[in-house]
Parts: sequence; structure tokens; C-alpha cells
Amino acid sequence: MRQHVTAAFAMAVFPLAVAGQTIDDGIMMGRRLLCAGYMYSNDQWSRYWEGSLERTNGNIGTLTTESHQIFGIYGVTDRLNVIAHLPHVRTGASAGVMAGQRGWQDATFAVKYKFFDTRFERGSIRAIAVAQASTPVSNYTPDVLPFSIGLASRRIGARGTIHYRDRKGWFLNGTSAYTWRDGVSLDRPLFYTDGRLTFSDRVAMPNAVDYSVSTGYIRGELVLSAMWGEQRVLGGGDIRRQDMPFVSNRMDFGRVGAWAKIPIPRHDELSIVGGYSRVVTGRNVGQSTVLTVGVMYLFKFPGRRS
Amino acid sequence: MRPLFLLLCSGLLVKAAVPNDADAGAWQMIVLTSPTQVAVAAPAAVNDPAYLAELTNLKTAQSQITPRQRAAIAYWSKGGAIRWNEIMMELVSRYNLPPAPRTDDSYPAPDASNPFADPNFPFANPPYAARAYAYASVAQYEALKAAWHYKFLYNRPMPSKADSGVQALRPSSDVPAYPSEDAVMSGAATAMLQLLFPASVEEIARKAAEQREAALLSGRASASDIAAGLALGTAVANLVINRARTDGMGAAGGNATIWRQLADQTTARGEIAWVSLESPPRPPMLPLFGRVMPWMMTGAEIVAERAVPPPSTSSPEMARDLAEVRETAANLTRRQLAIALKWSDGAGTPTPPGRWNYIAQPYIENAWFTEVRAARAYALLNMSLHDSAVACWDAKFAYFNPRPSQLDRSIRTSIGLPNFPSYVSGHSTFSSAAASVLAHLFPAGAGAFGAAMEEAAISRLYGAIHYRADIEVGKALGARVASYTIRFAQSDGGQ
Repeated sequence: MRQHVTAAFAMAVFPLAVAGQTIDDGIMMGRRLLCAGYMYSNDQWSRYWEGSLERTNGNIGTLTTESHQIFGIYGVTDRLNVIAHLPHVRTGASAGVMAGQRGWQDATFAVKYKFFDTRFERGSIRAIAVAQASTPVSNYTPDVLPFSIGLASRRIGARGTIHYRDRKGWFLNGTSAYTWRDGVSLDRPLFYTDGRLTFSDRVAMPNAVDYSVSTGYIRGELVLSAMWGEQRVLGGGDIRRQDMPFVSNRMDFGRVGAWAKIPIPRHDELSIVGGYSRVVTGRNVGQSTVLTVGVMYLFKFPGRRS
Repeated sequence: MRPLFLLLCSGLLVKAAVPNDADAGAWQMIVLTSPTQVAVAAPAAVNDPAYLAELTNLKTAQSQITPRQRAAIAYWSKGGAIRWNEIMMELVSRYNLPPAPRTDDSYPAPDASNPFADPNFPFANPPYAARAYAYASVAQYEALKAAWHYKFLYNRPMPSKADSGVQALRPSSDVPAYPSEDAVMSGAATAMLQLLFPASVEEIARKAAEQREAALLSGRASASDIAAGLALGTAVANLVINRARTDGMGAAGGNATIWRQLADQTTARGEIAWVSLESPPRPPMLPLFGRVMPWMMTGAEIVAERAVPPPSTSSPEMARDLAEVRETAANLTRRQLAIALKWSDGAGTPTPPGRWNYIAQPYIENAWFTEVRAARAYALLNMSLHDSAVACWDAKFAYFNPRPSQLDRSIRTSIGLPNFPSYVSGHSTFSSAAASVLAHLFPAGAGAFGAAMEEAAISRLYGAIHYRADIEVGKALGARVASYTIRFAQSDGGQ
């Protein structure tokens, strides 16, 4: 249960699971349960990495990316969950003259399958596989970074997660994914990146891996967790000195975060959620601080087992 | 077999029908005084033992040809003038980055004597690029005209024609081989680009050597054809470099006193003076570029053709134009944004002059020109683009007119805001001049050039960085500048 709205540069690389039972945690929704909700994220950075050089930019000041997201997770069975979410994103800078951008970003769908689950005296271990896919839902441009609302690349990913939980509810979660990224089209017939001028509007996008670990406490609908994770893009050029970022740049970063889901007393189908994360290492990304708040509601459909 | 054979024959006949431009040695020179200004000694006869030994070596080299060498032959067979133009576009893109500010908020100037430092030399901004494309194209064109003079003076055939044992790995032509046009271009390009992009000299020398090797191994030129071509191309380029060293570019950046004077004289006229909206404020881009020597015009003609003054910053006309920019930016459609981005050609791109070279390329390629005629097309196009840059910068710094976002801070741009005065629009001037010259050279493309010009020009309003007056007056200025080039092209001998 972590939020993933990170640097505007990096936003569309991660599978952006901000859902109640996220794509990359070890928690499964029970059969015939639907968790749906809304979440607001505010991502800000004033420092960024131009290649590996950390700097500020007087023509950007602070870049703010706000995201309004709707999401849902449905338990088809106790072992099989489907997940969908869709953010509306808005960007803007505190300095300079460049216009921010806004629009519906990328829809994500995922199928999460628990293929291994064993219980023993002190706790349980489960293993989960996830197939995930994302696609832009509007014709936004990825060519005005860092103002673009995303990278406009269609993606599919394969993820594996291992989740250990003791009898008291303390857990440790490890997850990693490989993401294949489709090329993107620009509105111009040529572009220069990674030391080469290409006479095409089509930009090949390098694939990416991400991995993270989290730990925390779960009891009923209450979840408290802390995480550390990294993304590595497998190719792409650096932002050159005093250049603008480019869609296929190598946008690597590491971040830490904390997350809480707190059910309302006596109405535990309703929870409020909140999170904080910070990019701590990076290359070609902003040094984002992200705050997230949201609400989620648990619908129980008839026919479910107790 | 028979239909295929006939097809091949007809293909060869079409090729053979391409004129060899045998008179190109007499076409009008631009920098040189005559095609014989650089002497090229007579070559050995085709039955001379030294030449026969060259052919023997060539046959041995062809028998040991590698896949890499075959790929190089295929690459250069697109045409040397075209390939060097592409290489130029890449170099301009690489060096088209403004210097980053220092910690004390000042901006370092790129230093030609220390090109690898931060910032790299050069900052290949649009005026720098326009001038660079022009010099590279003119050096090639002058050297090729001189080469054509000697080719048809000495009439030594290609090795693949002199000796049937030498394979023709590119379609052979009846253009005599001595001196080799490929080597001429490699020499001219190396000398010229060394001046313009000194930090990339190794890569340029590698490309040039590859071009010469491809000429040799394809059976187009012998070792002595190549040696004579390399010497000629280098010598001609050095004459062109003499012009470049004294054309006023060195002073085009101005200094703090000049930057202040530009603002003060504008304010004294009762107008709002341009200020940099970058943070920290950056000195204006090449404020004295308007005094750099033009190609097809004189400095006096640049001033005589100067655009009329822009609407006063306090006039109702300006208020109306400003409102149009504000409304356009506030209601920008995705289609308009796409047009703004399509033509943005800002930092990290080949610049608008490079974009017009890109637009010209398929026309030059599909015309099956000789190298000298292809070089003529690039030279005419790029001289008009350079003259457009001079005329446009002359107007920009004569009037020092503020950008829309300066007069109304609420106006947000969808593309980068160029760091120099608004009036007149560079895109409009460049595009209008280029479209006119290309329409003269390739009348069948006139409609496409005109449409591209209109779209490039209006893209600056969509980007919210220019008023309509900047665009309309810029287009008219570009057309006037082009008329000088077209007049030259109508009577230079190559028409």
C-alpha cells in the first residue's frame, strides 16, 4: 500500500499503483470484495538531476505535479484480484514562462494472482505474480518535459512479490518488476538524444526494472508501512548540460516512503489513506517529495464466503 | 532474364541521361576569383606505370573489401553533399545548447580556443547555425566548381572505366575522376568544420577519411584522384575560412555596454525595451549579428530592406496583438500545440535553418543531381538562410521589441521562449526565404514549401512567443532577402 506518484519525469515509468491493495504489495482482496476510492497526490521538486549533476533551475523554480486518481480492486477469488486505476494529472512551475499541462494520463490494468501460500506456526509466506499493462487514455504530448503529464508510452510488466507476515501482523514485503515500454511518437520529424540525431518522429523507449522492500503492520483494515525502492531504466541518454529532459532519458531513482491506511472506527469499510515519499537518489529526475491523501470504500458483494 | 535485362538497360540509360554539368567550372564563383585560383597539376596518363600501379593496388583492395567498407560505400552513395549536410545537422543539434549560469548568476561565453570546456564551443544557436550551414555549403560548392573545371580539363576517367578489372561498386558516371569530387568534399568539409565545430574534429576527420576510402574502393577514384581532390578541397576551404575570420562574427556577441545601450536607446524612443525573461537574466543572443557580412546582399542592402518599425508598445495595435497571443495561449488546442512543437526547433535541434535543409533533402536526392549541382542547391538555400538571419537580427536589435510574456506576465508559452527581441519572427523570416529559394530550384515543390512556411510561421503564435505582426512582417522580409539569392541563381551559369 504505497503510493508511486514520483518525479514528473519518472511518473509514467512506474506502474503507479496507488490503489487500496496495490499492484506490488502482498495483500489480496477477498472474493467478491471491491475496494474503490479516490486519491490526491501532490508531487513537488525544486532540485533535479541533469544527468548525474544535481541542480536547481531558475526557469522552473518548483515544479508541482498534482494527480487526482480513481481506482478499484476486485477480488474475483481469494487468489485472483483485478486492479484498475486512472489518474488525471496537472503540472505547473513556480518560475519561468512555460505553461503547465493537464489531462487524463494513463489507464493501468493488472491481474494479481497468489500462486503460493503457506502457513506455519509463527506466520505465513505467500508469493504473488502480477501481469500489468498501462496505456495513455488521451493524446497528451511527452515532448514538453518536465511539464508533460506522462511519457505517453504503452507498457506491459511482469512482477513477482514475496510477502511474509507473522501472527501479530508485522510484515515484510519484497517485490520486483520488469516493464517493457513501447516507443512513443512526437509531433516533430527529428530529435537528438543520447549523442545522435534521428530523422524520425518515433522514439524507442528503453525498458525498466523496479524493486522495493517494505515493512509494517497490518491488523484488519489498518495498514502502516515504510518502504524503500528503486527504478532502473535499461538504456537511454542523459539530460545534457542546460538541456531539457527528453522522453527516453535514463530516469533512475531511489526513494523512501511511509504509508498508512486507517479505517474509520465502527465504519471499517471506509478508510482514509495518506502517504509520504521522497526521492533520495536519482538521474534525470526531480528530487520529488510526494504527499498523498485519499479515501477508499470496501463494497461487499453478496455470495461471498465469510 | 530478358525483361530484367531490358529493365536494367533502361535504368542505365536514364542515369546516362543525367547531365554531367560539364560547364560547372564556369559557373559564377562566390568567394573564389576563378576556378583556377588553386592550381591542380595535370594527372599522369592512364597508361602511365604509376597510374597502372594505383589500379593494381585498387583491385587488390577491392578483393579484400570488408562488410564495414561495403556499408560505407552504401552510406556515401546517397551523395556527399547530402551526407555532409546531415552531419552538419547533427553537429548543430549537439552544440545547440545555451551556456548554463554560473553560481554567481553570470553566464560564461563559449570559447573557441577551449571548445571542450563547459560551456562547449560553439553555442550553435540559429544565427550561428545559419552561418555555419552557409559556410560549409559554400566551401563545398566553390571547391566542386573548381574540381569540375579540372575534371573536364584533364578528362581522366574513373578507374572502373579505365580498367575493366576494377569493379564499379557504385553506378559509374561519365564525370572524369581527376580530381575526385568525394575527396574534394572531404577536404573542404574537414577544414571548414574544424573552424565551426572544433571539439568534434576527430569525428569529422573520421567521416572524411571514410568518404575517401569509399570513393577509392567503389572504383570511382584512384589514389592520385583522391590526393588531388583532398588538396584542392582543403585549399579552397582555407580561402573561404579567410572570409569567415573577418565577417564580423567575432564581435556579434557584443558586450555589457552595448547591451545597455540597446535598452537605453529603445527607452529614449518612448518604447518598452526588451528584457530577458530567463532567470538569471541572460544577455541577448548575438545582438550584433545583424552586422555580420551577408552573402547575396551588401550590409547597406540589409539596412535598406529593414522591416518597418513594429507597432509602438503603447499603441492600440500592440494591445490588440497582445490580446490575440493571450487568447491563443489560453485556448490552445491539441492541434495547435502539435504545430508549435513540430516547428519549435529550439535547443538541441538543427535549428530552423537546419529544418529547411531537412525539408530540401528529398528534393535534392530525387533530382539525381551531380555533386556540384547538389552543392549549388545547398549553397543557395543556406546563403539565403544566413542573409535572413542577418536581416532578421538587424531588425530585432534595431527595435529591441519585448516578447508577449514580458508585456503580459500571465502569458505562458508552450515552447521555450527565445532569449532575444520579438520583432521580427526568425522562423517566419527563415521559412519565407527558404521556401522562396526552394520553390525557385524545385518548382514542383512550391506548394509544399509554401504550406510548410505558413505553418512554421503561425506556429510561433501558437507557442505564444510572437505577435502576429512579427510573423507577417518577418515573412515579407524573408521574401525580400530571398529575391537577392534568386536573382543570383537566375544568371550564375548553373540555372
